[in-house]
Amino acid sequence: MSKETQPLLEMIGITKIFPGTVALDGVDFMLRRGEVHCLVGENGAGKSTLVKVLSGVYPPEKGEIRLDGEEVKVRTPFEARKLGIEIVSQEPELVPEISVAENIFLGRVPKISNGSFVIDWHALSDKAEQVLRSCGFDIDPRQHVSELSTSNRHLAAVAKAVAGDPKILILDEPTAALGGKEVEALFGLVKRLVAKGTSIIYVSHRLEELFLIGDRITVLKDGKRVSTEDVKTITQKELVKLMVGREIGKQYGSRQAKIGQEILEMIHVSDGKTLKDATLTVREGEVVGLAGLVGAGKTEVLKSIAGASKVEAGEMMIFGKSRVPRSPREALKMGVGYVTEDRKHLGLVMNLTVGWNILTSVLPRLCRHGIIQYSQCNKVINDSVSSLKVNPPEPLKISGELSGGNQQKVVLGKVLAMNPRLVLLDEPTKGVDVGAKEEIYGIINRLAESGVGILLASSEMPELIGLSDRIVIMRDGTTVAELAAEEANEEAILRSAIGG
Amino acid sequence: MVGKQTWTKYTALLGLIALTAISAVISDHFLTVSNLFNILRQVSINGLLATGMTFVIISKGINLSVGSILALSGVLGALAINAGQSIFVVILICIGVGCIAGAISGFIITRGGLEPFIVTLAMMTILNGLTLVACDGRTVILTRRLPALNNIGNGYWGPVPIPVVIMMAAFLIASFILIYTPYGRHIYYTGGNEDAAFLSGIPTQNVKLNAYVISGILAGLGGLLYLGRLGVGEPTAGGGFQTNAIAATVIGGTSMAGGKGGAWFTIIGVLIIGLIDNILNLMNVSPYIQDVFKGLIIISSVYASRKR
Ligand SMILES: Nc1ncnc2c1ncn2[C@@H]1O[C@H](COP(=O)(O)OP(=O)(O)OP(=O)(O)O)[C@@H](O)[C@H]1O
Ligand SMILES: [Mg+2]
Repeated sequence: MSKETQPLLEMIGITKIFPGTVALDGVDFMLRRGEVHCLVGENGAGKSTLVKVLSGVYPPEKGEIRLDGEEVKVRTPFEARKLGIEIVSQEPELVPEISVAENIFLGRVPKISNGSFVIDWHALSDKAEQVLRSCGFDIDPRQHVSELSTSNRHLAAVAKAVAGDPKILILDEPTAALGGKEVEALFGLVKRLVAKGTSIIYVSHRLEELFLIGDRITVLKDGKRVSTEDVKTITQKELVKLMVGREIGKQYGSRQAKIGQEILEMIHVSDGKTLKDATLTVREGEVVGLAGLVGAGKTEVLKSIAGASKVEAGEMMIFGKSRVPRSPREALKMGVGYVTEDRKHLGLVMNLTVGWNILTSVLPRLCRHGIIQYSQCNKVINDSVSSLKVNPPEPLKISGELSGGNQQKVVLGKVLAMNPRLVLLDEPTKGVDVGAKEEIYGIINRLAESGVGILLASSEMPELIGLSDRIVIMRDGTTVAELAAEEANEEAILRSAIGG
Repeated sequence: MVGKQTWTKYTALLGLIALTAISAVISDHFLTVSNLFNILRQVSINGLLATGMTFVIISKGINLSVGSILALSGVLGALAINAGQSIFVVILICIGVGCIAGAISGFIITRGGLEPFIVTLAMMTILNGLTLVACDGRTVILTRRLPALNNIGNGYWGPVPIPVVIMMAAFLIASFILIYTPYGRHIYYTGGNEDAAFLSGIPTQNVKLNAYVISGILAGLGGLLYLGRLGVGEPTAGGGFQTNAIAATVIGGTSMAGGKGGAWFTIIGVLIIGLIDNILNLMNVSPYIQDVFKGLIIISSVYASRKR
């Protein structure tokens, strides 16, 4: 076979078993030179596991990896790097307290001369700046990673991988944490890399993206490969059917909610930093969408209501009383539940089980005479696991071992276990598969029907438009416009969000 | 389902069983009731300190000052006896010293946001200094016999030494708190992911502060047992106690990474250390070499229960 027609990478019969789970069951995967090969499947299908096997995070039980036709062993991420394989994982790990520049060159810092061990700080920041510019990302390399927004943190991780000049670049749900503008920058980068001959493995739950940048699509289901398709010859509907095994109807569902009294009113609320002036209301049974570009202050609005950030100015009425929660504890006591977008750092205790995570906020309520009633706890856990369809439905599973989308359901379950009357949702379907998205939308609808007020921040426009009764649009820390459901469309939202 | 946590518990338990078997083989004397109770009495002070340490370590902290609390409370207790105070006042002083020292550390750690390692290290030095000031650098010899005190250190309840009764009570209460009360569970959340716990409405600062208070109280109680056992207030008594308490906790399987462990793990760790001391004594191994062994055991047990 000539070098041109030979696939760059072949993974043959890869099997990976975790205690109690067969995550991959004899999966074959082939990657051509200069293609964008997408990997899709439900939460827990084994996508992340497959790319982790390729990048040396998990050793496979069985199977073979061939690069350029030659068998290779990828035992550690370090070896993967040497083979030209770079990964941006679903929850990328950067070192928070050092600069973006240092993170980008972690493990390959430029030295003042060859063979020296003295770091050339000037070259480091120059090169980092170059990398970021060539990626098309607007990030200051001197900033500490801890100061970056979630989306910029993700982009910094992409830049880090690109800086390694890989032959194979793996992106595991790169857009889950990004807004529209950032997604565009990323797609531009992908196209440039592909033109240079880099091969890309692209994992995503946003199916419309695959048709924009993908060449081929491999579908995984329950750890097995279902099929590999050409993007040009398959429709989104067919793809969904391959993934879920059934057709998905009306994604957003419908609801008969009675809209009642105002339960939240924010008047010129500011946190003295990102959030400058938020004015909005939420009523019983109402879903209010919060739109805006990344950095517009959506998360800050939610945090200020949830007692997670300090409110410097403005007024807040919650359930008819003028009050500003000073801590998450106070907010919860009032009946305000907050689902964070950062499930790894702020959402879950990853080394505790699913069950314990669901109980996080409710324990004091499940006590008699100060003693935890475990029978009641189990009821709460089982209700939550089954109504959210956590997969595997195993309350004793360590949360960190769940797939990303299932972790998201646990975060939701934890907040809903409190029976809040006002729910603040920050990107609630981040990293969630199509089937589960439909389920989460169903939960939102049912909550609204039961009289709960919902404030939904999302960077997925169709989701906002499909679910909200009203949409409040933010720009630069300020609420600038409001659209009723009937008049909302992507263009109108974007116009207000960008301004001018 | 056998999760990773249960497996950790088993490794320590298997170690304990192996050590018991080895002891029984080495010495016929080992499996007698009196020897077993003797071992339990020897570990009772460490048992108290390690139980308190378990709370702190699950909360992802550390308390290096427990040995110093023990010494200060013992010395102050002895001085109180010599000043003619009753046993109740002595008990109150011992526990009070621990409670206050723990609260101060916990307050600085939570409100000041300082590292537990540094704060309790400083607290250790401060308390050592205070102890020497209080007794003028000399051992406090009791000028008065207090039968109740002697009873606490050397008495029996049926066949069971009183220190063992106290240790077991502390273990049971600690286990109960950790398993059956919201406060106990909140320590796990806080240690596992403090930010997530705080956002979930858990008063993380108080949770941590209380862990240091509990640890301090049990160390103060340890000082009372020490005073009762030896009948003197010994200003240098503290040395080595904190290392033993930390070692027992970690050997049992409570993780320094926070959020994982329990009092039952720790009781196993305490017994393992006690048995090692006992075996080495039975074999007439020099005490200097004993420390070397102990260090090796700590490393190997943590290795056996490491994350895979
Ligand atoms: N470290 C681990 N220990 C035990 N089980 C694991 C571990 N990592 C993953 N699993 C299990 O392996 C299966 C596949 O998980 P994986 O993360 O690959 O799914 P995924 O397709 O990436 O899903 P998602 O879209 O939700 O990210 C799941 O059932 C998951 O619970
Ligand atoms: Mg995944």
